[in-house]
Amino acid sequence: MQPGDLGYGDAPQHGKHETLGGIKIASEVVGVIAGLAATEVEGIAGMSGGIAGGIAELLGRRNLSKGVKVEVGEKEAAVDLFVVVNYGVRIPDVAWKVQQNVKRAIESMTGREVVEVNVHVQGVNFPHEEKQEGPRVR
Amino acid sequence: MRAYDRVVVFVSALLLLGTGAVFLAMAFGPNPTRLFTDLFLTGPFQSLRPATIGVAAAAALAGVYLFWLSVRGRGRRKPIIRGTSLGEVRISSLAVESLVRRAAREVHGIQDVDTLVDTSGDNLEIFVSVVVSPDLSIPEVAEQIQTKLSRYIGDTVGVDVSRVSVNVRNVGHEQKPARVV
Repeated sequence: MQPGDLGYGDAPQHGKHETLGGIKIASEVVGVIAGLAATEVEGIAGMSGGIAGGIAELLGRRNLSKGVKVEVGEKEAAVDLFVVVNYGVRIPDVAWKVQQNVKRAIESMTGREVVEVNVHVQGVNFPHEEKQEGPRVR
Repeated sequence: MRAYDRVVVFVSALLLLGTGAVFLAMAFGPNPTRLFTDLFLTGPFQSLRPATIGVAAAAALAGVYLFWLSVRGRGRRKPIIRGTSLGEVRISSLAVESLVRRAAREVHGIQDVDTLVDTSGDNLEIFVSVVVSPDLSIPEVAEQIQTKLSRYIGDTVGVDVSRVSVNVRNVGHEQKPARVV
């Protein structure tokens, strides 16, 4: 079997062949780890899949990795996270916690050193949806 | 629009006007191809040649600037970028705008808010256009918006707010308690 034939989806990484063989970690896996680590930070409403109609789309927990872009090498990894934060939080603080948490999670689960965690705050989530001014008389 | 943008637009408009006039004159003049040379390079305005060159250079510069403006046009859509030791934090201007809208709406007497943020500089510049309730002192409300936004946005986004421009677009209807339930 060829090293690239494991069907790991978009970008399986070719591990260096050492004595026992290289270890490949699909970027999808790292994406899920990163997404989970990011969303468990308090103040993060969720991952964002992009912007639709002027509003940042909020992804559910099933496709967290859609809001993550990952580059995984043999020893290092870099991630870009697209997130939506909750209203009222201090964004720099939350982003910093996300960076630390994601770095720690990826490093402990994959052994790759995380060289970069970029956090893209795509939108803000309000506790109850902003509505157009409805009729004043109901 | 900033002051110097306005100056450039003004100058460009003058130049366009002038160019148009010259072209018209050339088109209807007795000897269209030679008119410009006759007038500006060898003719009565010969002594003004440096000025002619100056105007031409200004026109070219204004053209370049306008071109740059039109290309850059999306500059305010740039995210706010802050570096940390672990990477970058980018806050989209969309996110900042929704924060601004929400925060401004919390000011008493504000009925509707539209907003734009300019993230192109080091600091944040906020423009809000609001509809206020009647019977309120507009300067006071505007000042409350400015204080609230510069403090709140500066704090949540972590970037200094250099200016908050408030445009009171309209005075809304009085918000009476509902007469019917």
